[in-house]
Amino acid sequence: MTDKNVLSGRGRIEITGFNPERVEQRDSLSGWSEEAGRATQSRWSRAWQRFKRNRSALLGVVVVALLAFLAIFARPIEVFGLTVQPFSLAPHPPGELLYFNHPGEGFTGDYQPPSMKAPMGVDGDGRDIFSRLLYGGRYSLSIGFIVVGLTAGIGLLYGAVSGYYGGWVDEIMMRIVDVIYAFPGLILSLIIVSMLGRGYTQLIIAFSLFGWAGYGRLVRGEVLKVKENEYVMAAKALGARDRSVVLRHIAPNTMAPLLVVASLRIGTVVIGVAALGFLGLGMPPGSAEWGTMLDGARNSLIRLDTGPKWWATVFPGTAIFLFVMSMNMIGDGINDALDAQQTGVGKGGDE
Amino acid sequence: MSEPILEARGLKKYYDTASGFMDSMLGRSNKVKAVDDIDLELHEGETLGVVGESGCGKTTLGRTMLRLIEPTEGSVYYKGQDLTELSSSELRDVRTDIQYIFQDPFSSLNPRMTVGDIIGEPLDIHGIAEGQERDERIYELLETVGLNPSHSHRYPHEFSGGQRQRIGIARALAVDPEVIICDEPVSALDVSVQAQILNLLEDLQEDFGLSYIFIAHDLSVVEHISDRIAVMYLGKIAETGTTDEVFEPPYHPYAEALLSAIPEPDPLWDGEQIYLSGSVPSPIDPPTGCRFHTRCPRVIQPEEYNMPQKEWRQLMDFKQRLLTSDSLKSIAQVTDETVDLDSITRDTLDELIRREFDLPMQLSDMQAEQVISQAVDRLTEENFEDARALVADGFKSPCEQVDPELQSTGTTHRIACHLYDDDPKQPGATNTSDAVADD
Ligand code: SF4
Repeated sequence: MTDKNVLSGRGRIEITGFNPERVEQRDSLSGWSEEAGRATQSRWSRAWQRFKRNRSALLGVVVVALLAFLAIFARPIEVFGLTVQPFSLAPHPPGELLYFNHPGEGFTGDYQPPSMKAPMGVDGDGRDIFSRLLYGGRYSLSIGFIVVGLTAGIGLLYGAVSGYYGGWVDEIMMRIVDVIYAFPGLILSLIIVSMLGRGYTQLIIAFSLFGWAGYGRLVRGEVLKVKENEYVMAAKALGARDRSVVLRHIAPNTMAPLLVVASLRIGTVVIGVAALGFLGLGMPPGSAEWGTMLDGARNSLIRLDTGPKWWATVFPGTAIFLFVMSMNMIGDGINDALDAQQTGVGKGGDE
Repeated sequence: MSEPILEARGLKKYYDTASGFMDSMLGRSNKVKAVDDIDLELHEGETLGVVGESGCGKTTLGRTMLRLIEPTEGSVYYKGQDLTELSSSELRDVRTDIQYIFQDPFSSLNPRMTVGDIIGEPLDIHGIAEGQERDERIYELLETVGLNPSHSHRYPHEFSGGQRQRIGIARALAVDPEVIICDEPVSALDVSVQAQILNLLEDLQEDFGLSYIFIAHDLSVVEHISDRIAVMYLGKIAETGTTDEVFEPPYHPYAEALLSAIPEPDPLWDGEQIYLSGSVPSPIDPPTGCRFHTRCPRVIQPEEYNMPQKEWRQLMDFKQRLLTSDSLKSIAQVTDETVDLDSITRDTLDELIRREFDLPMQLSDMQAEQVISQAVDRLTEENFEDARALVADGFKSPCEQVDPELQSTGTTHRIACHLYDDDPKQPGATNTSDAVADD
């Protein structure tokens, strides 16, 4: 645009219905500016923009964040005798027997429907289901994230090595994956738990020991695709070492699908943990893990003499459902954000 | 001339076609001779054009010379140092002297890295510059290749093909190389942009004293930029010489065909485009003798024949088709559906075959005519075995039997073709029934 002064005095055209202030103040249309470009408007931040516009994914994030928040602040956390988290949102410790610690408040050692004092009712051993539910989130959530973190990490490394070196190395590594694939994942975990016994660490081992195979195969496929790109050859022509070729050029370009699968897998792992719990093979009986809670309340379903004790199963079940559902919505959101990104790059990415 | 700066000696690259370890265990593999015994020399400050159709192994040649692909055999000398003997860390140092520019400006730049980081990568790898100095070097390089230094924080997808190729060139220049191998650097670009990139490469050569090996698939691209040219066909060098020598007779028949394919702006030019029959044969099982004989328009006739060259070429085509097929459908031209190949008469089959291969009803050479009519007889009986034996025996070019060596036809000009063999009576003759007598 030319300088305003040059135009002054010329025939004036008045434009109505056009408010320059609004144009200046409105959000920019493309989100791209020289500045934004400088601050690495990378594919990740553009994917994040897209993700933010995805309502169901955001809802998922909110629910998961809420569950995580409640789990963390359910009871105080102590590390080596030092209280690092003093709050307790749950009115009772998860193992507390209400009739024993609060005598005279009308609690008995049996199922009791939701009431003011126990908003989700009391379970068959006389424990507050609401408190247990909040606390139990710690098991499900942490196992889900830890297992996925471990397996995705191992799978990334395994797949990258297998795909990058190719040949015999690849052949052997992939046959191992095939063998693992021959067994259903849950059955493998079941076998491991029955060998190692119940418990938190045992569960993590059970799901991690073979759970990486899927990631390994996925990453290997991606690496083979990325390896075809001439920029990998170009990096070698420049004298880059294998390690830096993998870290700088190959791994970052395989991250997107890995992230999508990993986010969708968290839900699967949590369901798996709950399933083992329900079969009595998860956490020790009586612990507040959601699946184990369901297992403990199983007899309430068939006890018809006193009427159904719906609260003992509906609330833990809902918690599992909510968490898994939200995780999957997040996973789908990530998938959409990154996929759209990929086509954007393919078209020349004229954002 | 002085010592060459880069030199390939007996360079070979064979690939195994085995696709997995089951294949190799069972011995189900073939050797693909992508580069087969090639000698090349590049002198300081010159540009050597390497030309050939796609699939002839020129890219493999470029990459094996840099050991981006390990050669199967042979040596590559850079200033007298054998690159094939170097350890990987020594090789890494040599990478600052020999660089490579890739054909595809889209896949050769990492889409997740900014232009600055792409060009900065070689600086990081070899510890050439850091911090402020690194930024300045990047800006300087961008300017050298005609890009705006302020673009260094952008991503490759924000640039056009020509601009991306400039980025690739800047990356190669970053290490201050002596030799750059340019692998079809312009063939993926618009024609209008090609000239700009070629000019840029020429300017850079002058400014930095670079030597280029310039790989291309047609002669017109290398004509202006090259001092010398090597024409490749199926992993071997067919002709090599200075640009003028390659563009002037005597020609290798393949180079001649490539030359005739260059569009000629002069409407009065009366040269005729030479069409090559078929496409490049598979390097898995390359033709025997001269690898070009399956398509060569000047393929030599055996001494006993005397017929127009075109007719002989058609006969050779007929022979090749017959040798690789076992149904009449693929050797006879069936235009109307009513013809039933199973119960065809000899005369109709004869006619259909001749029509398919554009052969006259009566060949000009009686002896050859006899062979073909006998072959048709066998074919009418659906006796493919004997028909093949007949033509294989009857139409045997000397070119199929002996692999031609590169022969000097000038001080620096060398051609690998039996037409230019030392002892024939009339070297370079076109219609030669007697040009080759040495087999
Ligand atoms: S040797 Fe024979 S087939 Fe080969 S190029 Fe020369 S004339 Fe053609």
